Amino acid sequence: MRLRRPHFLFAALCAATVVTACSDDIPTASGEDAFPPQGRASTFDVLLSADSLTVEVGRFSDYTGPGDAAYLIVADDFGGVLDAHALVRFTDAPQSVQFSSGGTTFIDTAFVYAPGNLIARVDTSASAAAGTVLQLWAVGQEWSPANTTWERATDSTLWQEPGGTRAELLSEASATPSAGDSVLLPLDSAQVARIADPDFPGLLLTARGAPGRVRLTLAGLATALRPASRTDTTIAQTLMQGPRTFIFTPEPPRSVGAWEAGGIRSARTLFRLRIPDRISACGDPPPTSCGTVALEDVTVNSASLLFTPVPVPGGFGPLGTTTLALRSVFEPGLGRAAPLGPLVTDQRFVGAATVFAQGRLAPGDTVVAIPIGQYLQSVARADSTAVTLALLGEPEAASFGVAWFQPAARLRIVYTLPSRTPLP
Amino acid sequence: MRFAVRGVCLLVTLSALNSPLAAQSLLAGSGLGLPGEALDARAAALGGVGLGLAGTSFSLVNPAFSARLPAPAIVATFQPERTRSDFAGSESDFSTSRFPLITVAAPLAGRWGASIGYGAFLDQNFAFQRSDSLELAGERFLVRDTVRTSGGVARFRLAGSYAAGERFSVGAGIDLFTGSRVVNSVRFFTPLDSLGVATPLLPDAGRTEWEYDGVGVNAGVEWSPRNGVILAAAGSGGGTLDATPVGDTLAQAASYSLPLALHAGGSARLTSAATVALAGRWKGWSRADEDLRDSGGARDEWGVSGGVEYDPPSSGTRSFPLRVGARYTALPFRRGAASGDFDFPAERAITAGAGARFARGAASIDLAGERGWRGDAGAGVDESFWRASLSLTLFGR
Repeated sequence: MRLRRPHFLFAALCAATVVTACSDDIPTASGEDAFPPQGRASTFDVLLSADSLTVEVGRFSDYTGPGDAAYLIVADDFGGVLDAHALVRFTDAPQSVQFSSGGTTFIDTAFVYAPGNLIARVDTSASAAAGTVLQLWAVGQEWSPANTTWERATDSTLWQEPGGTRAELLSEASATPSAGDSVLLPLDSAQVARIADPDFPGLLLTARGAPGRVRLTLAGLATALRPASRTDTTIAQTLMQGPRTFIFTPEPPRSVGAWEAGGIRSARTLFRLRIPDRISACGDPPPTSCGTVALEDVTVNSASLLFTPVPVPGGFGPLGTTTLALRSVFEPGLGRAAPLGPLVTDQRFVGAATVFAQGRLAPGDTVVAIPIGQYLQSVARADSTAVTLALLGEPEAASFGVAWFQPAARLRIVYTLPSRTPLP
Repeated sequence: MRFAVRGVCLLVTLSALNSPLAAQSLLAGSGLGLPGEALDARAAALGGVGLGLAGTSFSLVNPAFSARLPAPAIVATFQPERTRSDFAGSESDFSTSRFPLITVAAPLAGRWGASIGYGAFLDQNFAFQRSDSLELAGERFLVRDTVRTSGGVARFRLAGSYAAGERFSVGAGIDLFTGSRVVNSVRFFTPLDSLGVATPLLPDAGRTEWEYDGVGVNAGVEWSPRNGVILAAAGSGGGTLDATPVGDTLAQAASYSLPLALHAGGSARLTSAATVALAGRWKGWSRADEDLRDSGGARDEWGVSGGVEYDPPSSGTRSFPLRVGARYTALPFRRGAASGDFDFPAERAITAGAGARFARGAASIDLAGERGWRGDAGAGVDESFWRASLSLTLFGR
């Protein structure tokens, strides 16, 4: 269908309008003089530390153990108390070796191992390893990864020697990596062959020398295979670890009054937060008596619960960075079984890898601030006066050390008073 | 009838598509805003002469125009504009586009006519911003405040007209004022201490909205004392413009007196091809001076416009008139500031344009270009602008 010319012109006008109508710029004037005085917002911050702000509901622990950790801990007299040993077994040793020669692939079930290295990657930021030496032992008796403890090899047998029965010493190396983050524990070919034997009970990693606590992961046993049919051929091979765990003594201490969070036992503290329903209309400290304003009427720009760390005895304090989280608590009356709700989080500040509502406790920190801004605003607008929260480490068992805090939190609020630009 | 229905549908559609009032000037932040005239491109090219023109003229000035219409008509005017503004020594450019006028008109039985129009009245699109620094929670932050006002007032005119003779017509109607004003206030925080780990602060945002409504009346006459000469006068006024807050119990309502507006103008054919047009207008905005006392006050708006149209005789069914003009307007609102009020601003413009009529006058396109200046240093705002107007008229023959 052909448009008649007037209709075509009108359609062209409409099309041009649609295209150009999207290009509006708003005239904007800058400067103090131009700005309407009534439109200026007022932002303040206050620090609330009343004793009644937080009330402890309970402290709970023993939710997780070494089997839940993605790392191993080796310690020797750390903090004057803590000893920890790592146990590992290699179960995927090859049954044959495959190689190519002259374009032909050969498989040989007869082969020998070359010398190798057990590769331990040390998390230096979460370790205190100066002067500490790692020792690698053959385990002297069978053990069960799921049930072993410092005293027990399995659920029905004790270690002949607490901390794991040692056979012979296989290797040792400084726990401080000379380069990068890897510590190499050298093994000769016979030791490698023994470790690869399915009947080998496993390896025990201990520490000696200066007291230390080392957090590490094992990257495998790097070795090589030589086929019996071609002894001049060497094929690189890394034996990957099978079952592994660590055992330690004593158990993490329980605090007398401090709040606990995180650690290998995933300690958590439940507390009740009383939310003020009104807040100063002119910040803190108020220069003059200026009255108060309802919290639900202000914009909470940020709010943080401030926790003050206290020392943890017995070498169980946090090393490196600990991620702390606050979660809402459903049915706090259930105590240690109280189900946890969602993170007390501000979705607008969720980063690529870090949830904003978590706080981080780094060595030397005197205060840990956990932001709860949007949560606080939503709770205030829901007319709630108190909520129960759980302070815990996340992910569970992500760090070995437990964090302790003074048994009260302070609340810092940065807020902006409502402002309205009136009609002329 | 079908044409009229289509016309009304088009009017509603275009009204929704784009505001009759888009951002035009920093002076939109003075008083009740920047007054706008609902003119078609022909009137714009003639310096703003919106009444007393020979032939058809659809500007929302004189309700008597529809009595002389040969057929139902739809007119839409599209107006892009680019403005350079010097405010407190800082220059900024902005551009916009809008529909200052959409009109549907038709002759009725006998000597009657009717029109429905939607056009500009007050522009209130502007923003202010400022920066400061604050220490909060032990950190220093750069604070940026922005107050952005958007909206304005548009006039919806319903009018009827009557041709009392070959040379005299009258018209009258009602003006429904409508629109809104939305004020968004935002405060952003940016940490200034790049070495520290500053606590992120959520921005503060507030929104207040008012709806405008008001009712006025309008009337006008058009008289052709002899061939080639047309004189016209029109007026509007009455009532108040009420601003009612929407969903905000803390915002205040307000009411402003609508001005009495008087227009007079005419055109005279000087030669067979040339016509001169002149117009003057006065709007009694000083009625609102008391209402606006805290924001600079108000004075009466007045303006003069003039232009020449050259429409050479052409063979066939097409014609291509050329136009030039100029105008001067004393604007009614000025910037108020804590340090004292600025001078009332004025707007000057020179204009030019052309038209083209097709299909025995069944359709026409009119174009206008304007080069204008508003305010000066004494007014606190010094602006220059380029503005184009494009009107397309379709007759339902």
